[in-house]
Amino acid sequence: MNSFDNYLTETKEIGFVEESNHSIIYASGLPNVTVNEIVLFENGSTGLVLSMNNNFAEILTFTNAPIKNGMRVTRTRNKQEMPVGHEYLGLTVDPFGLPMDKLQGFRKPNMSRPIHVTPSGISNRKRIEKPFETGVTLVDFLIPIGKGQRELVIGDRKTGKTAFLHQTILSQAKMGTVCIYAAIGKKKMDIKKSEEFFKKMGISQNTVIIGSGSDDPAGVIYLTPYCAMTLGEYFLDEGHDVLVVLDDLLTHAKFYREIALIGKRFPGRNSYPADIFYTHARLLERGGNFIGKDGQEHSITCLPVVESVQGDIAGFIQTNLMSMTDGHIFFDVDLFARGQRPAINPFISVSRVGRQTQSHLRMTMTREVLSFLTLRQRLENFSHFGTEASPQVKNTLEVGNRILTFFTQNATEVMDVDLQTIIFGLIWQGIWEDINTLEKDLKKIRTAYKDNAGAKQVVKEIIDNSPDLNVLLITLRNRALDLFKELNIVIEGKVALFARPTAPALTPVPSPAPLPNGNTTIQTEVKN
Amino acid sequence: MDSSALSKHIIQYIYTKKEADELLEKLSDYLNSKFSFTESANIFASLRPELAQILNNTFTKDLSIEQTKQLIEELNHKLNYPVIRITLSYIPQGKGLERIAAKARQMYGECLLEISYDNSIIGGAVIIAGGKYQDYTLKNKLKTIFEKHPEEIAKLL
Repeated sequence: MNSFDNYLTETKEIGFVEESNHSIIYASGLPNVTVNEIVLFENGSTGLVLSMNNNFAEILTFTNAPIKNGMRVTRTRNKQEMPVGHEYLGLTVDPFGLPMDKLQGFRKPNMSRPIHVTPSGISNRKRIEKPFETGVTLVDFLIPIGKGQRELVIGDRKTGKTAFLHQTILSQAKMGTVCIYAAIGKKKMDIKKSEEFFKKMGISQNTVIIGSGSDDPAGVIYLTPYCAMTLGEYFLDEGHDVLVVLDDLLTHAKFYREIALIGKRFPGRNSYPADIFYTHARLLERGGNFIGKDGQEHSITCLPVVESVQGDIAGFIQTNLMSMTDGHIFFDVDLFARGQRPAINPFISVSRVGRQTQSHLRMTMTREVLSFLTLRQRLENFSHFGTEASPQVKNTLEVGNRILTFFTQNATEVMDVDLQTIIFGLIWQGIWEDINTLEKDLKKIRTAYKDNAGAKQVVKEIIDNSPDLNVLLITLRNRALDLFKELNIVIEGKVALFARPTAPALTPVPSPAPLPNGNTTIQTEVKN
Repeated sequence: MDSSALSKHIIQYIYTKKEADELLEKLSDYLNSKFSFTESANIFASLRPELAQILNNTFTKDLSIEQTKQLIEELNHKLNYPVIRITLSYIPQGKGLERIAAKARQMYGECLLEISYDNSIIGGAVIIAGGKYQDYTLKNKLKTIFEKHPEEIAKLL
């Protein structure tokens, strides 16, 4: 940026600070300044013109440096812009595109884009049809997401939201998606942790962190998600699929409220300004599935995060965001306390467009699992009364527990979607009868599958030949042994189920699929 | 003489914002002195001699407290003119200041000057009026010439 004197000579307009109120400055002069224009103070600080009247321009500053009354300010004739370029891949930068750790030798890209733009219209968009893999089994099964979808991640603090986001980024970055993580008003330590996680997992070349610390000026924190989206749009135009994670928008709303209240805007509900919905909607509207400049489909999948308080998801900002996204994933504090990881409550979570991206096989599986888990929950609640459970009820609860064990994942683990399908098929067949064996075998399978091309080929063949769950179960009975052979591991489960050469298993499984042990009573209950 | 005509007469001799602020302060002191036994003769002595002379003449007349209050109110209201900021390479005095003030009033209407001193501009003036920045300094002229004709200047040097 040029010096103050250069801008002054160029624009020939000057103003003087008349009033300074935290991050809002009122300056007289500047007769032709426009809204959203960047102004430069005598001490080198920059600010953004928010509004003006006949006497003053209202300026939002981006600095903690003191701005005194009488200080000179000049126009720049520039709108708020963010430098964009591939140089940012692997870096942690602030909303102005400067590396947070003062990286030596970093050259700022020459290209820049305006931060506030009108989102693309409907003519540039396409129906969301490609699945978006999070690598988190529970989400990929029960709350499927599509590429270009905007899925809200909601939950109390310390319920594993950030871990889930890291897993999703890990899974997507490995597939070549450019992942942009906007850390909004976070602690510097948390930003550093995310950066180290990406480095440790070897995905930093596909990720960018745009961060603002909790001690940064409110104006900088307010800009962070817009800058992340601007960078995302750049990569989209370069022909990449992009994932933008906005962590979190409640903090963003709070800082925007601070700015609005200092700026003497009339407070509305919970003291938020009247345009808080617009502030978030114009941000999230920039996500979607687009037709790129190359005529191909490219997407910006957006995962905004919002914190709930004591499990209350009916807060103002929370409901606003729910209404402007295509679904939400709810992290339940009670489930977290019970030890479920990830602590996602599938019954409160919603995906409005994810199902349309699923294959028929996955769709039938999702339906079966959801209805089964609903039944399990009902029976579990019933069993709390201390009634003696019938063998069928016990069986349902046990199978439910096995499925939940299957859904349990560490914060650094991601699972391939095809492998998820196969393992679920095996569980549904009933080869594991106790949870310990299941846990051990799951670990073995995951490890052996990682870089095993032969096993991946067998899995692919099984899935390609299985249009729905029933056919998958039949195919598995025939091919499971081939898979174990390729994996080269000893399974502790009842592999003997598949060992019978002419088992009646070749007869088609009646729909709906029977539960393990051939019991269909529960299925009937589900349907009813 | 009524307070309106009196204030108009005084304002003619006020050129700068600093003088205006000082005047209002002195008038306030004068008003306070009406309620005390202290001598009020030299209250305006620190002002510019011409202005001090006029004020002394005005206030030697036996102005009542009410009239003084009215006069201060008038001046407070009228001295709310827009401020023209001028940066010069010298501090103007006497006739020089008068001429600058007359020219400014001719160009921008009723106004007050805020004059600052900066010898780095060499000559000329920087004028800031209504948020417009006009640089008529010798420093700027020389800079423009150096930028436009670097080769010719290099030859001369």
